Amino acid sequence: MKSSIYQSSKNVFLDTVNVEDYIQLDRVSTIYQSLKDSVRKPLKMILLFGKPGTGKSMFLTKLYHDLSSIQKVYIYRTPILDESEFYKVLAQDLFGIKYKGELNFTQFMRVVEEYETEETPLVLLDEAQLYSNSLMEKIRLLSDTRKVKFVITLHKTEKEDLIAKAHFQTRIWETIELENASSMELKIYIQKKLMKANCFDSANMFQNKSVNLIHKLTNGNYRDTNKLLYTLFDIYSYYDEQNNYTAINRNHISNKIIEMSAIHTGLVNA
Amino acid sequence: MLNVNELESKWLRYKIKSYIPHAIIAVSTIIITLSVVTIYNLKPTVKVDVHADKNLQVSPTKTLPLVEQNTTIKEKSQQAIIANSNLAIIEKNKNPLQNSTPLAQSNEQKKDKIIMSPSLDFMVNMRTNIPAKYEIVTPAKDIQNIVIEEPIQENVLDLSEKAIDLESSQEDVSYESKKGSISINRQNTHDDIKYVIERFKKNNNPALSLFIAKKYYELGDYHKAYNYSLVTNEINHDIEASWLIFAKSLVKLNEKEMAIKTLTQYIDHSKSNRAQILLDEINAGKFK
Ligand SMILES: Nc1ncnc2c1ncn2[C@@H]1O[C@H](COP(=O)(O)OP(=O)(O)O)[C@@H](O)[C@H]1O
Ligand SMILES: [Mg+2]
Repeated sequence: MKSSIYQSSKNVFLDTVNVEDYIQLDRVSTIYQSLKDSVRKPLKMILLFGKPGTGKSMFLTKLYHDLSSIQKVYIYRTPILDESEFYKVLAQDLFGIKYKGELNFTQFMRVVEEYETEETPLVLLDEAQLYSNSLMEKIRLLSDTRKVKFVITLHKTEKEDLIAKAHFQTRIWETIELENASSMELKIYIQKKLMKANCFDSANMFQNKSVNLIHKLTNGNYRDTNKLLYTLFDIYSYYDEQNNYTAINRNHISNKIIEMSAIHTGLVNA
Repeated sequence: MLNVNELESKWLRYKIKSYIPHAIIAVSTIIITLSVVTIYNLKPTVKVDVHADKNLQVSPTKTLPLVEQNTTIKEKSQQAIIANSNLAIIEKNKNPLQNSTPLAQSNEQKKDKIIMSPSLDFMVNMRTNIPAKYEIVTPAKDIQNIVIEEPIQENVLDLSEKAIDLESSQEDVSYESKKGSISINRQNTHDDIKYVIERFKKNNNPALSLFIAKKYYELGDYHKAYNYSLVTNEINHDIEASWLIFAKSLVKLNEKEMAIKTLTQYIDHSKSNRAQILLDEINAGKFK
């Protein structure tokens, strides 16, 4: 099978979170800068807030990557739901202490309070909406000791709004909200992503008109855009293999194929 | 594996579907403009006022035949409209109050989900009181499907945008009809509702049924407003505006007790301020 430009463009939009794929977007980098500043401040907790697919995990991964060379930082991409397990993992990773049996909150608290270090370890928790309210409360108490600092990400839905109200309105929290991309940002995102993979021709095919339609369909959500464009280049590859050149115009992305992809990915009901 | 051929035909169907509303709007705009023009022409006095006297002398002989033609066209098209809308109503109402039973059943099954629903007795009363033509036919099955399958929230957002579109398109039309008579304006709103009902039948979106309920309420058709807000609540029981319309329609239908009961239950569950205000007003007799 020949590996066409469309095949490689397609793979650009696999829904994965790798540091190498991180794209600098103006708004994102300002937020990123303020996040990095917050990490240095004596704040105990930082909350990264946003709808699914707005790039929270990507952000956290990038932060982890950038900080790991200069300070103690730990990332937990999937939540550790069992409380005792959670404390045990932290005790092991942060303080190098191994526990065999159960470890409850009071015991772990003692460990944390007795531990002497010059630098506060930073703990990054992704998908924190999955933690129970009571564990979240304990995490808050842990950060009150100022011996550990947490950055957590949270999906923004009604239910989590409630949690947010209960836990995050105190001053120890800094809240940073991530949002969907604007049409302009989406264009930059798509083009930069393609160019990073040397797919310059595909990148050039995304003109404002196509991007506006994509933005209309995905609301500027990065994950939805990835899904849409993955399918889009899948369709392009298909036409390309069939040598169906009437369907493909190399100058710009076809609206028809955008809409076909939206139907396939369920972004529109057909 | 991606089936591009199948996707192509799906896309074609999607395109055709998405053009239908535009076509309907275009056609109805033409018809409305036509009737506005005819009515305008039918009133010679108006013409005299507007135009210079000279015209009066020249026009009668020339315009008369034209007017005649126009009227017949207009009459035909209006008949067509009436026939259409009647049809729609009849179709819509085929399934009338039978609804209440499946709805109630599904309520019981989903008790934890749907926190409140109007009492069955009341529905039975309604059944006897209301002529069949007021009923709405959204088969309960459909509703259940929707509840399970669709992420309602996103939908609501998405569709309310469309609903706004609709409202704005209506504005356009009513602007035109300022020149014409009031009856045209009415016809218009009914046409709009009809169109939204068609769309609601297709996708069962609560934003659409809420829109319909509001419109009927504004038009003073409280039976229909009641029905559509009930359906809306069935699909998504957390839409405040729908509960408000529901309660207000009940009051208008002389079911004050029922309205109070429903609102109280809703407030218990939602702590809605607006619902509380309405409840106070109803209790104080300020809202009648
Ligand atoms: N700044 C960015 N650079 C590159 N890709 C991004 C960026 N932000 C988001 N993405 C992409 O969007 C997708 C969704 O992002 P993700 O971080 O998983 O969202 P969330 O965690 O908020 O649900 C990921 O596949 C990721 O590749
Ligand atoms: Mg994530």
